[in-house]
Amino acid sequence: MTPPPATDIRGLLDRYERPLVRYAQSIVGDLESARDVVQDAFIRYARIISGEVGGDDAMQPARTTNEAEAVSEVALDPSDTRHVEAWLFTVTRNRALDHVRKYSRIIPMPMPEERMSEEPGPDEELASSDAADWLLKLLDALTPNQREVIRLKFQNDLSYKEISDITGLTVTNVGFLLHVGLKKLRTLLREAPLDAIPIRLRTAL
Amino acid sequence: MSYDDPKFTAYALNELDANECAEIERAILVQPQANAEIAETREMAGILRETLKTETAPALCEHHRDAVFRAASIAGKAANLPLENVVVTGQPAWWQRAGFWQLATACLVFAFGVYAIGVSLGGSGLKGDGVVQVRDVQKVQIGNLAANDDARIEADPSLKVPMVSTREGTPSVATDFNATNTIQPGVVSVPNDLVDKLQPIATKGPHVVDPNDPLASFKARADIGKKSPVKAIAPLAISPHEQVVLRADNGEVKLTGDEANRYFSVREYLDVRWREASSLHEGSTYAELSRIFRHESYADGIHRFVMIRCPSIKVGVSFVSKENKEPEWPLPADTKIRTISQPYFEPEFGN
Repeated sequence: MTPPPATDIRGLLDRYERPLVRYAQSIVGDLESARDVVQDAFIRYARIISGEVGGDDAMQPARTTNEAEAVSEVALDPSDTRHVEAWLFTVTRNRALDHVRKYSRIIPMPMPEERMSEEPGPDEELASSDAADWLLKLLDALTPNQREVIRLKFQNDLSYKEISDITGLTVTNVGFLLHVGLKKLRTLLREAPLDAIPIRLRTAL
Repeated sequence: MSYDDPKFTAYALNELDANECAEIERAILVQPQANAEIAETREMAGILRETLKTETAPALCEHHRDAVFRAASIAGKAANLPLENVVVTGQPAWWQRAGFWQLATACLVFAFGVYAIGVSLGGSGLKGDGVVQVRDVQKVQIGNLAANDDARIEADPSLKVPMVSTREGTPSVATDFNATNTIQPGVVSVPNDLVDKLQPIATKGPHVVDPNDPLASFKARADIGKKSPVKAIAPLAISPHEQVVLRADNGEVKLTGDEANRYFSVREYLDVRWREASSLHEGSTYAELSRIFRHESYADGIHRFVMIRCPSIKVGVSFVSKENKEPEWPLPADTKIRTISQPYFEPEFGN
């Protein structure tokens, strides 16, 4: 599908709103906040391509006190439709992380280890016959950044380079996270009892 | 190179250039098991692509899309750049919908004047279809203001002005409203630090909140009655260079666009919080309640539950007591709610 022109706001919304909301939700947790985040990203986009605000400003990295977490600035290039997509993902991600940082001060989120100990892990959920649900539970066993790059790669068909631009990770790091994440998923699949694995997933063993 | 190298995964996912591919293919020749690894990686990748794309991908709500279109429209016109397919029509804003203005009209006691004066954008004006024309108009008069004791400031239904915040992404300065990124036609509330400026021009009176629909009453009217400070509500849309002037017979207060925008509270944001609060019911647990509300106890023995993300929303809660005695806080996580009031809205600006 040909991406819409950069000035076609409605076309861009139609094309990207769902993937972006899903991506934002994977970061912020709740749907309404995810929608707010995506709306903000699109408003930002509209204002930048109209020249009302500068593109560099829009690509400010996620605000954080930890300099090491800051991602490099990338200006919006509306002439490159692939870049527009990556830009929208980047701004969505930054806004979503802002949101998480803000509210995590108020509502402490469980650490991944804690959550895994409290919730049924993949081994306990083998009864599920739905491959998608089952796979999503497997993903929970990965680290957050492994999950994120896997989602960006396989759910949104982004390249290593685009994922690197979005996350601020190096391309090498993106490759490493995907490598380790995929390997871990395969290991988890192998360790699960065969008869509990959805048939669709058994082919990966 | 070991076949456990991330480059093999990159090769399997077609992420390498020709030179790197050749390098991997040479390595495969001396490590036959690498082929199996690559095949497994591709199989896993295929499954991930197929299954992850079936995960629910919700769309934005209409009001989110409207906000985007409005921002695009106003920004595009400001830059004289026709954005394709940006037409703000159809879906009316909340204050334009049926029912709202019947309520508003009933409450309207006096007229209220707000002037939006464009400065560097060359002025601000209004035309149909909800699109703000930001060129060639120097002044927009929304209404006239004359106050009496029980006067209320009302939004003007004829005004169709999208809100443009200069501070998107930055929360409102008001602690009880968080205008996080949501740019909507909304209300401007005047918080404490502007009350001193506004008091000389307004009479005072009690703030009225309908307990059955606090959000509606809040957005629909702001009392400038005898007891509470001014709470002005108007569907203002202030571009960064515009200025809002609140005017009465005996004075005026000027707010710059940036200043005024900081005080927009946003109905959609409150609606979200409202729905969140309403999800609790009898039989919900204390743990579920605590995810949304913070328990506060006071010296006089009063306990309140204040919404964590919107402290203006509160609920009254009683719990099922196993031992029929005064509970000790915090309650056990599995304690069941016996009764829970409708969330009520308690504006915290003003005194």
